[in-house]
Amino acid sequence: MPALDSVVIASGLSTFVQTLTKSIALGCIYAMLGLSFVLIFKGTQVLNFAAGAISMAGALFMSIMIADAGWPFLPWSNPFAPDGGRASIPLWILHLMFALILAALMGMIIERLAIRPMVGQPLFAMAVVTLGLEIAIRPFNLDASAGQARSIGVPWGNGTWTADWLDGAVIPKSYLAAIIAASIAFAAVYFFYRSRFGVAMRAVAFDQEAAMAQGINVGRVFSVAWALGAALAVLAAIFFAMTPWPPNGAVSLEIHPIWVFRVLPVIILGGLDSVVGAVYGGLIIASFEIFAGQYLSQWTSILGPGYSTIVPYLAMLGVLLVKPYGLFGTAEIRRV
Amino acid sequence: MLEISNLEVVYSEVILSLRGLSLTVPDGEIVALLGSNGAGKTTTARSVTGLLGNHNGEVTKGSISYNGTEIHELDPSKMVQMGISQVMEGRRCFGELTVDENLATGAFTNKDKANVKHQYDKVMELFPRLQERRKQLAGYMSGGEQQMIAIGRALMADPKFLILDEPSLGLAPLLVQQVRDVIRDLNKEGMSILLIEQNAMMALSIANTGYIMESGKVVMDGDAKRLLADDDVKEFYLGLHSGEDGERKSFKDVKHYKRKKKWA
Amino acid sequence: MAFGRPLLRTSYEEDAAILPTAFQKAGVGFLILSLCLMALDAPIFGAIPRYFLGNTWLVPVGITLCFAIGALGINILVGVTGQVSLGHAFFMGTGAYTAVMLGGNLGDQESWKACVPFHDNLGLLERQGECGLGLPIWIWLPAAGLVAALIGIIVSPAAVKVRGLYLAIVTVGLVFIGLHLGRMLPEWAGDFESGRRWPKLDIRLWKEETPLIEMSEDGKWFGLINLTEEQKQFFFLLAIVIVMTLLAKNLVRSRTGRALQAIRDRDVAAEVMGVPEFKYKRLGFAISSFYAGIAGALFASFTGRVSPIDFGLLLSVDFIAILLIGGAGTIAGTLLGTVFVELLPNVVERLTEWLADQISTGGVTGTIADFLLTTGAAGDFGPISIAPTAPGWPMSVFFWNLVIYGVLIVVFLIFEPLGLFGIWIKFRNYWKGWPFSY
Repeated sequence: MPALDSVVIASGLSTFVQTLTKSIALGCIYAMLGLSFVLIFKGTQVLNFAAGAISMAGALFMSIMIADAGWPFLPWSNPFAPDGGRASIPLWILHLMFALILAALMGMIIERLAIRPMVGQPLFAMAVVTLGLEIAIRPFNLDASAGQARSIGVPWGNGTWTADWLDGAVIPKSYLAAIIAASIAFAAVYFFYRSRFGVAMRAVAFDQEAAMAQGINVGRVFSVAWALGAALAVLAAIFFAMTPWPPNGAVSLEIHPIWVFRVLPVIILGGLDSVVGAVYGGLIIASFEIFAGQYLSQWTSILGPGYSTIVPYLAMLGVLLVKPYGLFGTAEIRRV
Repeated sequence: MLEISNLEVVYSEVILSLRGLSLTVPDGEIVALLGSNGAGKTTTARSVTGLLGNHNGEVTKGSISYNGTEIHELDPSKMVQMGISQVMEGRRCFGELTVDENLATGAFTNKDKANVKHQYDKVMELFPRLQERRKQLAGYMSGGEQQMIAIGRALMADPKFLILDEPSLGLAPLLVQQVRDVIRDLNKEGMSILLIEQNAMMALSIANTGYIMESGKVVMDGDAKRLLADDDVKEFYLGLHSGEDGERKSFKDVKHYKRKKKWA
Repeated sequence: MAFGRPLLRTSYEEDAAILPTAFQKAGVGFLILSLCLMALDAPIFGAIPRYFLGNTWLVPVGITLCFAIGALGINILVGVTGQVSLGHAFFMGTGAYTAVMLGGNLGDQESWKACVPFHDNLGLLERQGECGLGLPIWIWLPAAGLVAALIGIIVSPAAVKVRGLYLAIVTVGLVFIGLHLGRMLPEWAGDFESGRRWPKLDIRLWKEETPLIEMSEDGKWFGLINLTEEQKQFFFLLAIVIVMTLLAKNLVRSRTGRALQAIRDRDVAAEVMGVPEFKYKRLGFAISSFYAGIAGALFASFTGRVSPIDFGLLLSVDFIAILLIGGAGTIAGTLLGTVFVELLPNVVERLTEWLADQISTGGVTGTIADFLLTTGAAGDFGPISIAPTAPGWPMSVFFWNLVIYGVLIVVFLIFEPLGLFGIWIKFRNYWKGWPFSY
């Protein structure tokens, strides 16, 4: 996919700068999705395989609100919708908020209906519940996208900045937007974890029953974890949709459901339960992917088309052989 | 005052764990609940603090009341808010949290900041060892220190009633004594305590009243001093027996209690 | 054998028997017999699957049989050894492609040349068609299992190092690497989208024209009985499933099986007791991959044409669903789970078709159908649309099939974590103690 990116090659330096910004932007997007996995895993011990379906559904909510001027699942029209499908920045952020709130609601509903009743079951069974959810939510995405790439009305579209002092490197504005969004999200999560509720969430993650015995309301912790996790996944999906490589400013069925599985190496590398690790993992994996896509492209005929998408998995296998709990994951403390 | 009457608990809809257990913990007293493995002691603790649901257990008969309120169907967090805290069997510290954070989880229901501070100082006073290791991960600490964290964590909610489930489990004799002293001190400050133990000597030495359980019901109860002197208790729990001195009894001769509770 | 007292066992042999009670022996015998009768379209028996699955029911059932073998394999890895793997699809693919490489292009002696791509005069990679050696089934079927097992052994050092969910994710990686290989090697895998043809299930001694046992055409079998192609394949697959089930059952009650179970229950403790953890985890991977390989080869041959996409992550998910819905760790549960997961979508499809028919008939069912369906008229907001509507909501019947499938997986895990097997155990225990509940 990144190999398809037709950036005009001006010079070695500008190619490098462009590749670097691209990998940072993709890394930030991976990090947001990674944070979503980490939040949900730390809060509820569930590896959320449904993140792909959830994130795409949230991005489609946004598309339905902006491009169709409607509301998801409801027959009424959306009075805030911009004319012509291209929003101004404040209006777009308003719709982004709508989409995130809907995503958080969706996360809470999923948690209440499917995850809460599973409390105390093996981790593996919980993970499979989310696989069932993935199957159950995906048809909505299939129907809502109707086989096309759907616009999410990005205000800056495919706009770029040209940095003359860097040999004319061309940097898409959406990359910067992704980096800003990821920074805000990361800061929010980081401070959340230091809070009283964050400590409670970590306690619940370690030992639910003991946390219950302390009077921690495990249900509320679960709810919050899923609301935040779903919102983060959708945030990542929206900024992923915005990037100037395909699907290019739209939500696409071909790319979104699969890309979540490409993030699994990120959380493995960073550790399933490490907030900082998700960020480092995202940046490392994305740079592997993008740099391999850029600088090995002349060997595509040997490596096979789309080889860069499996680079993360190869990196992951390498890391796991050396550090079985990822670079930042907590090694299970075992007293045998 | 905690009153359990005629409690029946069933796990997984088939395993009958408690069959008509009754006991009373009067205010300001220490009550020891003794019994061998599988007698239903931990199940009793779980039913009081509302943790049965986690183990697919259910109260099918009987009632538990605390100061006149029915509590057996309440949420665990409600229970903590009412002032009942539990130190769980096997310590169950949050291994990936520091000592301070562990204590903070105990204070989750305690909204009064000044009180939290007060309780924290009190815990540090009770267990100076924790003071030295405030920032350490609980998972790497010794069994004794983890037990201190577990007790301290329960105290952070400022409970009026404390349930301790086998606090002496796996501790060295000196540490057992220390734990015992802490329990006695807490009781002196007016806290009611339900002490669940295998270590009958330790429990009965500080308790006011003792109950002995077997197969899900109470088979003997009474004043702690009297129980401690009772021959049957001595034989069964302390391994002491009168008669042919030095000769060990074969297992088949060991007495098991099958009789009903005597309401003396 | 003490009749009437099912729990009384007087010897170890009795306790470890495959089917300990007379009731179980009779039950399994009756099950196999009735399956055969259904396939032969005997009166009454033939009507049952036809009612639930439609007239072409032998196709989904044949696929189910292939999947049952794969499910037995994942049960050995996940249920018995306790190693969570989402890489089963990869091993199935390995088996399938081994089969097609060895058995593909039946009868064409020179077809191996097609495996070597060459550059045409434009410099583009060209190939001569679909490659394969055209070997008979008694070579390619065991080879499919063995090659998959070998790959399993090669992969296992990486897998043994990690535990639990980490292992699950690592094995997801295998699936994606497999998909990439499929994309990279079109001369082996055929076109990524449409795939390639697979050798038939016919049994030959070598590459002769008329097969020893023919299974790819309708007609008389052994000059005895008139059967369709699907019926013949059904019997063949059923026989293989029975053999593989016996093997799996025997494995579990052997020394090896006990070692695997010890590792599942507590790997450290098992090692302390002298069970070499690495060796047995590797063995678990090998056996499970062997089953997967056989299943993949049979599945591809039965279907006739598959593409690399068919061995994607969803296939692995199917297997995990089978295991959890059936009840992990038990052979009977695994087989039950396979039937449930593989046939359920067909049943659901029949149900929605039936519902759509009801709308015109009126009455109570008609009203319910009308409430559920959207025909496209204004003000009609049933969740199921049978006409083109706005994107997202309401959704078409086809999509609802998928939703129901997903929701059923979730519901099952929530309400019956021990799976179908757990329901059976509960039912049995209830009657054992009846009228006392415990």
